[in-house]
Amino acid sequence: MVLFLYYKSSLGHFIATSLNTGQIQLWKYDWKRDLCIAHTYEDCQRSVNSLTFDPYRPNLLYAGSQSQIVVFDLREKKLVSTYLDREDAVRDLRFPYSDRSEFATAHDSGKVMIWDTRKSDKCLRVISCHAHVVFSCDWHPTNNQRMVTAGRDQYIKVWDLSDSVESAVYTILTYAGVRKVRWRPGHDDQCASYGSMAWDCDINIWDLSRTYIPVAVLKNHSQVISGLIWRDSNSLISSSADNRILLDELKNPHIPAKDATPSSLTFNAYGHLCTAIRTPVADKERKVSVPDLDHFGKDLVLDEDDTDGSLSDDAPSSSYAFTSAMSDDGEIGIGALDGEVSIFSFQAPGHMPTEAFEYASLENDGDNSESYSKPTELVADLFVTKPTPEMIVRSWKFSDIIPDLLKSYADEGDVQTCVSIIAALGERFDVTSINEETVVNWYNYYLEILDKFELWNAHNELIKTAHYSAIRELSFSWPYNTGCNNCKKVVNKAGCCNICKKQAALCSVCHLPVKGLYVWCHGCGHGGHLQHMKEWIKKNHVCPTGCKHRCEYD
Amino acid sequence: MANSVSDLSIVRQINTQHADLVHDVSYSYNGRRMATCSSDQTVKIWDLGEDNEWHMTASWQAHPSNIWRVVWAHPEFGHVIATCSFDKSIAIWEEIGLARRDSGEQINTWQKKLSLAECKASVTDVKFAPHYLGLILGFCSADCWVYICELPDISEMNLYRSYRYDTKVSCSCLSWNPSRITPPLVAVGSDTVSGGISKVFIYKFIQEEPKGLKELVSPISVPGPVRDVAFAPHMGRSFFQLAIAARNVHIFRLYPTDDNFNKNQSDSFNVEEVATLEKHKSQIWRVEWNITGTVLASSGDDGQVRLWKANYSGKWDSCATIRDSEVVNKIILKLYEYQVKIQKLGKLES
Repeated sequence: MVLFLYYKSSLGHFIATSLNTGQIQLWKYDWKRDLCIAHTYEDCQRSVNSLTFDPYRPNLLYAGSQSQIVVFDLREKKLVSTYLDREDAVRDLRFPYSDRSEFATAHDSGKVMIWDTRKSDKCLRVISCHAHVVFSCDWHPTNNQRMVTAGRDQYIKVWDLSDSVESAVYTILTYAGVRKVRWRPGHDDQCASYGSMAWDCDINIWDLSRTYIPVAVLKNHSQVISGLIWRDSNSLISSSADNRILLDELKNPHIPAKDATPSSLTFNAYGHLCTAIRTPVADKERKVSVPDLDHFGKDLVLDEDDTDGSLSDDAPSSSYAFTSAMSDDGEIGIGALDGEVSIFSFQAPGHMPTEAFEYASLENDGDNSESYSKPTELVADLFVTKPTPEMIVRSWKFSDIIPDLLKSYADEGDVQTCVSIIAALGERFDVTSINEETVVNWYNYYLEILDKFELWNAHNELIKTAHYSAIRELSFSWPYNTGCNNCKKVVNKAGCCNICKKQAALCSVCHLPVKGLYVWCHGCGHGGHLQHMKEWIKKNHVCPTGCKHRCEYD
Repeated sequence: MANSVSDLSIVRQINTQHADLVHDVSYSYNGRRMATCSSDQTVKIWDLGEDNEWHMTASWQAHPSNIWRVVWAHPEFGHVIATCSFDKSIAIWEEIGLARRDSGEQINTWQKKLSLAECKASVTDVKFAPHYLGLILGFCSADCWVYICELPDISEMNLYRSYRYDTKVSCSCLSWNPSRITPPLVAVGSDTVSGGISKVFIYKFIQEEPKGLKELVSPISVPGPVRDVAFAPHMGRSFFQLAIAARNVHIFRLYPTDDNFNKNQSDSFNVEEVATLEKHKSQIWRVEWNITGTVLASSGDDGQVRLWKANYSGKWDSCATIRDSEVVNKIILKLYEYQVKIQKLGKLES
């Protein structure tokens, strides 16, 4: 390793270089522009990491080596004094910018030491700065009581030395170990740094008012940087392992904060929009807000028949009602009221098959049956009280336009309608009329939406009723044997106990058979409708059957 | 109410306690969890509690530098998020339940599963591929590379394979096409502006060996730097919709040119611009689609969030604007003070 240092003083122009062996060579650069070795100092036994001429006593050269600080005299050409005699390598040696008899050294042990040039036996202060090696330190150009240090632990720290107990007033955590840090002259709150990692070839300029992001980045080097010095407040010279020395004028630096996203958005399945918006820096509060778009979605449903608001949990059940209300010869009529689209059979107008209600009670445990009786009245209104001939829409063979209809709905993003129609048509749907892969695809998207809404029941019901094997394969079930509540024997397929001769899975609250979700206590084995048990457990702690077990549900 | 612009005030504000700008916020799959990331080097996880309020359940320093994006993986891979940062790396985090030693109470912590430092510059975006492709991560960086990283399993993260593609310009954003039956597409936006325009590239991720990216169509050019791209949820449409955030919001449609659309073959697309939405009149930073791809939200430098929707004839227009209610309140307060002043003046005069 060769370290260069150029120096101009009343004694002449000098360049000092050091080698890994500890040899320090002093070159004189004379008026004939010849460079010749003025002297070679061989007093250092170990490699020298830093070299500095004393700016206030022009005849002195300071060298920080692996184990000590040595001072050479240029005129007498000999070792003058030694400052440290223990195993702690010196990484950086800096004199303050104003005339003082102090200097600071950065050490491998994570410490920065401040020395008096007149006292070589004992240092003035020891500051424990970093967890690892301190690579660099620098005195503030105008404030004598301020110092910046940087180390392998990826931190740049600014220290206040005015108090007897030093404190880090600013801490910058960077993404790699910091090899060197230097204050920017003319800007009291800015410093430049470069990293120690081989992949890091940027020079970052930091501002203490915003320590999370560098105020500017210089990206001109292609390999790891080896040196940096400020020429004046707006230009700096840097050298790198790519064999180039560059002078940066800081005219058009890359400013990372310009590319930082100031606002952000996210949608969830329920149409809630969450935004993070920049608020003035002064109040330092960053806010995330969640506008509730529920009413917005509903408005759109009424106005523009949007799909996203109508994707509610009653969707699969209405499609089910549609199936059962379908007449055998496949003719349908469409009647709209209150913005709801309902599809009814003409052939059997007043008649609603009972399956529709069973499904509804399965979904809602029977307590919502009022809302499901509404379509019957509607049908009665439409077909029973006004049976005039002009009211009846002409029948047509719909199967030809179904593929076009489905594709058009899909292009609008209304995959729910597509799947509902296919599920409703069931076997009547002409499989050859549309590519099976497309249909399976629609099913997949719709199932994903149901998944996002956590409508597991509707999800599984849809898979069960699908006429495509590719969809039905999505469902996998494990058989479980149900035991009778009374005698603990396995019940038969109908859900009845062969011994006790009665229905096994009755709800303990309403004493009716449970279809769909059955919830039971693991302790006593009694249970019932999910909704009923929820309500019971809210008010009571013991089992509804009276078995005196204190039921526990998660 | 159709096409009339409505003002939506903010219903709920959460003080995130982030010390610097929040760069990204993202809902989990079912919308019950939320992740935020910020320049202050932390990621925070928010959960919707029983009381219908958002509670911060985790906050940790995820990178030693600014975090640009945070995204959730599909729940079939567990509670997994990915972050990308200015420190030239991405990280994958998994939530793990640990029993506390003293009380035995279960606490959830986020563990770093993988850190990838393949880039030479700031990683600007990271996105998980659609879940049916497996655990695949796409990310792009300011040093002109797009990376696709295949992760075999969340428990064996180190066995990843990565493929990369040189875009020749600095990349700022990335989006996966969520279509199940066509080959996976990746849109990559660039913030390098030359001659007033910047580009959006569309690549196909080839899943057969040799795997890699292939450029499909000539790049889309839009004015101003591209800050975000977003493919709309596909929902079985016969085309793809792509929203671009640049100086304006752009919506493009990609129509497959051949009939093999459903046969996993389509390699060529007709690109057609559907709409240029100019109402922000400032740089757009983010675009986001709703669940069915029918409503588009955008946020710009003007501090507003706009919602866009197409009417029956396919014309896109703004259907709602969200403003910071505090700002609005401040204006109202100013107006009130002004009125009081005028009233006082009137009294004095009389």
